[in-house]
Amino acid sequence: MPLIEVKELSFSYEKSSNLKKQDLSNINLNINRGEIIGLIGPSGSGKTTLVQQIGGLLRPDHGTVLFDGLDIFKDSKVFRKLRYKIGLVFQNPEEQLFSETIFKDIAFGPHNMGLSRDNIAKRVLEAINFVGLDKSILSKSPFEISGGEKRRVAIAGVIAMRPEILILDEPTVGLDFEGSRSILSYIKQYNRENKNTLILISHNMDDIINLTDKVAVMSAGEIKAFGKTGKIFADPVLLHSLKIDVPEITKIMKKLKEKGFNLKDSVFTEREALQEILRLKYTI
Amino acid sequence: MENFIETKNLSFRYSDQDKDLILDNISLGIKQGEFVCILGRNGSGKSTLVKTFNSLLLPSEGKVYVNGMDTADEKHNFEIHKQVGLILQNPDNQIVSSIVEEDVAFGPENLGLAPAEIKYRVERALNIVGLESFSQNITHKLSGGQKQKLAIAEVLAMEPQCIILDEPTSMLDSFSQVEILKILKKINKKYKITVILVTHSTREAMFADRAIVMEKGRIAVDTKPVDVFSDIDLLNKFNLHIPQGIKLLLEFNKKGVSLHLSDLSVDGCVASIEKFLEDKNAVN
Repeated sequence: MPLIEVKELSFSYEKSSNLKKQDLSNINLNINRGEIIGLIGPSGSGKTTLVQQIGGLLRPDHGTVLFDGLDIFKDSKVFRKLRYKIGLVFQNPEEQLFSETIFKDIAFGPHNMGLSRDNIAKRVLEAINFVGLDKSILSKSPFEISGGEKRRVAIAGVIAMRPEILILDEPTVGLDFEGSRSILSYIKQYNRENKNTLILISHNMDDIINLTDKVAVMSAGEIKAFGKTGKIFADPVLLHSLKIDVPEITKIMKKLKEKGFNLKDSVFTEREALQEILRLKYTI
Repeated sequence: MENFIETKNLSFRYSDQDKDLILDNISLGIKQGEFVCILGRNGSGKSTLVKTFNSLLLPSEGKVYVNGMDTADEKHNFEIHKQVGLILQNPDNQIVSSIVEEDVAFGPENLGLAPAEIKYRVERALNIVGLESFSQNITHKLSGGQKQKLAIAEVLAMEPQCIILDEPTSMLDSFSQVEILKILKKINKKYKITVILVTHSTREAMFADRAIVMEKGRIAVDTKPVDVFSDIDLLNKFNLHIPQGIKLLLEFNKKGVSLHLSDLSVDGCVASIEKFLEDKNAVN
């Protein structure tokens, strides 16, 4: 059984007060335990709206979301049991830090779960370690730390609940190179430990290609393609018709191919590209 | 040419108790009509620096002059805000009206301009960003890229001399990113507006004429973008992302094949490789 089953899900913002985002129509998506799923598509294609439904924050008009076979919208008792198993890290989560100390902020989730004081402290330490911050930061105010640190604290707050599925909406936006790389490596590690499942929304195709097992491509509120990452990015017709961006190296190889050089164009890394170009140069 | 923005021994800390300076004794001049990008890792002081340029933040020590006006002198506030427009990462925070045209008119209306002048400014601003056919559209139905263009139009309608953008494209897909950068280039070259762009994207930085790299509240490097991006040691030292195309050219150089590093755009990389492939004299 898939861990997450999105079944014939449709949602319209029109009748609710928030009119800002894309409606969803007839979404079907199965996610297996331990998989890393990339969710891509242009700004405004419905990615955020979809993960908010999977996280149980927005109720679909039609269809539903099953977690481990349980309908998360069926009744509030079921949802209360499941809500800590689904961890959702919003866009710019650091904007939601609110407690006077970082310790209290990360402890907020575990506290709501009704854990003991000792257990909460243990979870907080574990989470702050996990995102690579020193425990001395715990007594500081969220306003005293840098943007990159805030982002990590916000992610730690979700990880402290030990969700079985972690959903991250653009987790590296606004972070510098090192910050992005380290957050992605923690995410990967979270997946490896205990086979946690991940959904990653990103505009950065390098990250999507390096990190995910499968990719769902969204456009205008629908999933237009879903499959193994390598397969999706090796399909030029699909990439073109869905206007999917490709890594810079792939663009360079495509342009060279268009100029008449007999090169493979589904190349995603510099090393592959180098080999491919040297092969052409010295074997002909 | 005279400096439009000038800082003299500018230092900044959020409160007197802070032992670390966020900005540490910066003396810097930015000339009218320059296109400057500001790079550096998270927490290096980029955003803080540009916020002192339109008097959002005032120096703890030293001075900032905008077009000769001391930002610490309250009587200049209005004029400084008129001359220096600020655009942030998330356009949703900047959009105030539900109709595109009304949104752009908001600033000029507050300046108390005549209706004919307001109309002229709105049309002109929408034209520059390419949203002229969207004037009657509903703002929240625009895509992310269109919203950011709208935010730029809002600022343009104030007829500023300088536009500061703090990571304006980090939430956008790469197609919209390029569009926004082209608009900025046009605003700068055609309308002679000074553009100051804070970014983590090396690709975006290439659009600028001058690159400033910040480190620990100081200016570490101040040079042409191409000089930053062809210097691998510098890129690594300041934790800057190295675009794949440049990495590829550097890989070639490591193999003893010396490729041109003068044009680091995607097309420039393609041209360098093309030249290498066509060069019959190259030896292995």
